[in-house]
Amino acid sequence: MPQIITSQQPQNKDSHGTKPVSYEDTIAKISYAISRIDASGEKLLQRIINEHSLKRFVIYRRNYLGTLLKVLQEDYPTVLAYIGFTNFRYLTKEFIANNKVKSANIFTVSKHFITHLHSSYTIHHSAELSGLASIDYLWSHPCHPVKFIKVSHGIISLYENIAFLNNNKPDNVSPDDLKNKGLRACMTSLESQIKKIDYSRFESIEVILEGENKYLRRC
Amino acid sequence: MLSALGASLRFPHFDEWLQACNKAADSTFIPSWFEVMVEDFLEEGPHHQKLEQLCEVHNKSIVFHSTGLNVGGTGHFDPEYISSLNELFQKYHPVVVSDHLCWSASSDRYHHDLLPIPPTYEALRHTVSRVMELQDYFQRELCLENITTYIDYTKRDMTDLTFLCELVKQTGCSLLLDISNASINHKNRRKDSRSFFAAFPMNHVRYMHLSGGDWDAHLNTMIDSHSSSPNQHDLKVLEDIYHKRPNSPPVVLEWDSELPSFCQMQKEHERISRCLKS
Repeated sequence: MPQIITSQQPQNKDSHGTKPVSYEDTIAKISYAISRIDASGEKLLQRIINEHSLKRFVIYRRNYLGTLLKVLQEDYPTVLAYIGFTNFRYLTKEFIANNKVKSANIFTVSKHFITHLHSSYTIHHSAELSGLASIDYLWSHPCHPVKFIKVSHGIISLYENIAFLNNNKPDNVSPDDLKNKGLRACMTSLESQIKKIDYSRFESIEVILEGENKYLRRC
Repeated sequence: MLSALGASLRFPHFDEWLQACNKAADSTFIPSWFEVMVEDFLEEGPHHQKLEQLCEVHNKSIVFHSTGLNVGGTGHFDPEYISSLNELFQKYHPVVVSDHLCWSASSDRYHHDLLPIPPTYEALRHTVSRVMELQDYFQRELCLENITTYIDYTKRDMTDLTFLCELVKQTGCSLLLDISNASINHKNRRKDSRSFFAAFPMNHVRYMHLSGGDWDAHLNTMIDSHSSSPNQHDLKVLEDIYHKRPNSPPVVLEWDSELPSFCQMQKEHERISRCLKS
């Protein structure tokens, strides 16, 4: 009969005479410290993590932002192209700060970004951003049950132009924004398109999937 | 039974693997089994037909590898996620299903990362109970991988290896030995990994991972990035494992970021294959 370790005498105090941190509390504190993105939560970890390894805690904080940023960049290439990487990264941080990720499937998390864009006050053009994001999500997840969306009138043209400029590939986006690509003329054209967006009227767009090919169609 | 060298199936190489299977005549390395990331198949799409083709037409076995089971986490399992996994297990009949011996969510939020479980009695009881719950739900054995750990907990009741052995003993789960993760952990702590590998419970290992890391000069730390070739040290460890036990569990190369060309991956597989034969 193998000897099974089940429990030891409960330890009410550690060697310093303080009550040990429970497992659940340990996980909660680490989770909180990771989600702060900056190092402000790390002071909670002094009794949990050895001082010599605490400097490496940044790896987990970096991963938390990096993983979400990577997924959002892939799912929202047009939003990224439109606002630039610096703003996109800022919005991702804001998204993390205001939303507790509740799903084990990271792609489920991604769709909540649209709602965040809709309610974000930090980006000047948040109204058209959530429209662009909705089309991006439709394009990135063509097998999602929702294959048809309504957006404000003018958003589709704006999306088409940005996607055209960006060739719809996140890799083509420069670290800052479209202005840095020497596309001032294009930006002027986009700005005039933004002015034409009519938020009182709507238009529809659907994603069509044929085998491995997909395309967007106004409807 | 899985053959000695499998391949990790990543989307950018999916079509080339299928083409290689269709030709099956030239000198291209074609494994008899693939490790498939479950998360890639949670959504519907044409990639499902390709996987079916690989399994049914080309008769390849698959191993499902996931990252979100959160075996050491606190709070409830994500019901939608584990139900989707179960559906995929029913559909594709994987030979092995593996995840990581880690936590990835508190009761509050998911991190989508592999975080270390402190090797304490309390954590062991907690993890044993959750692994049993998952095995009951899936009605099958779970295979758990040793992870890379960048932090050290102040409270330890046992070694990481003892924790892992106890978990196996109490739950009947099996193990996925990630040679590179163990090497990185030892390298980052300036420790020799030989005693760890010598004591690792190989009888419970279903398969092994090899991967390449990145050196973070600022933190003076090796990072488990899966973005390069496995190093000579890890290949030597693999060679030693096979030298001691010729019927050792099979191995698969993990490469997730900065994925090289299919042709380069073929060369990497040849390199590992030579190592297994030597």
